[in-house]
Amino acid sequence: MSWIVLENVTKRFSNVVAVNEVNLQIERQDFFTLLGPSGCGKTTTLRLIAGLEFPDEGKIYIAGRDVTMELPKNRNVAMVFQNYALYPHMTVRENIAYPLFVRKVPKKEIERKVAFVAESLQISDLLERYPQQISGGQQQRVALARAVIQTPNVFLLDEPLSNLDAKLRIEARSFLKRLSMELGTSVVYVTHDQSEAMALSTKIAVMNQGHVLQVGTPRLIYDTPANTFVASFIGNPPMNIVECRFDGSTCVLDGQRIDLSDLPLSEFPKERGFIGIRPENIAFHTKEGDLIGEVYVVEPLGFETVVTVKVNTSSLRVLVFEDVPYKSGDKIFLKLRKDKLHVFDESGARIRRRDEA
Amino acid sequence: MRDPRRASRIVSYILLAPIAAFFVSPILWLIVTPFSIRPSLFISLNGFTLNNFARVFQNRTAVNAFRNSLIISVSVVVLVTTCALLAAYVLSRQDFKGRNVLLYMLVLFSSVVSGAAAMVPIFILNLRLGLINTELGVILTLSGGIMPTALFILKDFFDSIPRTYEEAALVDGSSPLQVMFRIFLPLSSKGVIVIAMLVFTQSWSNFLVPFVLLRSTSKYPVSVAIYTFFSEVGVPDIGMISAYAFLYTLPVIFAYVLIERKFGFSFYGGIKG
Repeated sequence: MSWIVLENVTKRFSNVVAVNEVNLQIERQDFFTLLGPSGCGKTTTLRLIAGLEFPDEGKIYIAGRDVTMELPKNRNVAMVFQNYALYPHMTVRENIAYPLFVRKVPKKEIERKVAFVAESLQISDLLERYPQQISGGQQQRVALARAVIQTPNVFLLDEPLSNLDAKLRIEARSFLKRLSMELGTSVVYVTHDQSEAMALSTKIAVMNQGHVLQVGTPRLIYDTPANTFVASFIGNPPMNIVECRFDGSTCVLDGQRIDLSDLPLSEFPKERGFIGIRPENIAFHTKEGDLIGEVYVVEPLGFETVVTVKVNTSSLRVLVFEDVPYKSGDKIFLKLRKDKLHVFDESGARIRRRDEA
Repeated sequence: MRDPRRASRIVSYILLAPIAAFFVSPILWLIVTPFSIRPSLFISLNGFTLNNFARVFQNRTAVNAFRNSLIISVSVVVLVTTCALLAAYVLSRQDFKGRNVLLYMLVLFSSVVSGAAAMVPIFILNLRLGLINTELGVILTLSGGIMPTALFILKDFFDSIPRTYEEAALVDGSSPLQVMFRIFLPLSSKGVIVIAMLVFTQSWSNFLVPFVLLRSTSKYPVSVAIYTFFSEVGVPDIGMISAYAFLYTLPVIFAYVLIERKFGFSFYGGIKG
């Protein structure tokens, strides 16, 4: 049995189904990320694991024990809240010590552990201050310290980076990854930021409207997204997904025909469908290509350049790693990397290739 | 260069001066008159004396009344604060069926029916319960009158305390009781103290309820006892009344200053520092 198991878990708030028959298996060494847009049920799922909400249906197991209806204190979990929730009437020291204090750990040991944790998170000189007197980044470390000082079965992190400014966030992200490797138990992480999810996770569950759409390693989700939602949610700039009409193995996009007969697909959509291709898998060509379009805007970002190309009524983003000599209005050919091209059926589900496991 | 706002500032001072005088002069009278040899209804200090205070302290009814007022007010504070605290906690943290209806009914009835209008039924109620001429009757009636206001202010204050503190404490391993005593009460202590003070001043200064419900002079609180300082023909003993009123306002002012000093009136706001 996996370390943490959610079995057909459903949670409703009056009429809204926040979490809909979710099944998850999280291993002990996982850095498991729940990823999705706001309101997709990812935070509710986390709160269900923490015991702050109780499911209407389904079962939750932590470390092999059924904890579905247990209070948080009987689950041995540690959580870092989005706003850190540091107790304002306690000093940093008292905040960090609190989980041990309420579990009646001897004073001597609390002191020793607080000193050790504060040392390793580099907040030793803040211990006598109050949470209001330290910066956002420091507050985040204190919140992490309060979680780390316990030896929980699982660490639950609810968007811990979202209150930090952009520069600090990247720093904190690396720090968090390093820390998670030293924790020695599973981490469940909630975020709406796909780059955070990709950078940190060993496994990602993409959620939308209470459903888990796909679970897998970041690589798997990036390379073989289960449907158009996952495909467009992961990656920046997102995958180009355009609706087109299928005529056998030929895709007709606004009158332009793309021959896909080389693709080892199990089947092609009957009539309507979608093709998806990531911006880095399209190349420009001056004389020939799969599609012809017109340059709409060019956005140079320093290291890379994002070019938006209009192909009749659809627009495609192209990501290139050099400066381009084009300007708006130029006619241009596009070459698609067929081996990186995805075909989705009418409902948006990805059609598997025959060579995929 | 002339400040263009000067003219309007002068006008506003002219308008505000009488209003300020209106509010300041009674306080001035209250400070000056008790120490005056010949106290009158005018603010004039003609010779300093403590004789008025001496007369107050020689009057049994007057001294007794302070004890009575204290008993009544402290009991009301304890009763209202405790009940309002528990009720407001539930109303703020639990979303049960009919919660909002209950709340609005409370607001409606407590604000629409004023104390004076309810005096006759309240009197009859106390009569039937055998609580006429008892401190308990006064305490319960005052508590009932102040409770809705206290409950509302406290509930609003509790609503402003983010729930995440309590949730964090739960996940950190606290039992619900530990959350209450270690997290929630310390966080809400300022609100509770403010409410206790408000209840104290309200019950300390209430005249109507004890006046209607109490019969014997020995049970009068200060607010009613002050009415005994009239001669048989209805001429007020201004010296005693002013000295007594002066002493009567002291605890309220003292409470204010003390709490202002100790806590200030700033609440814990959001979480971000």
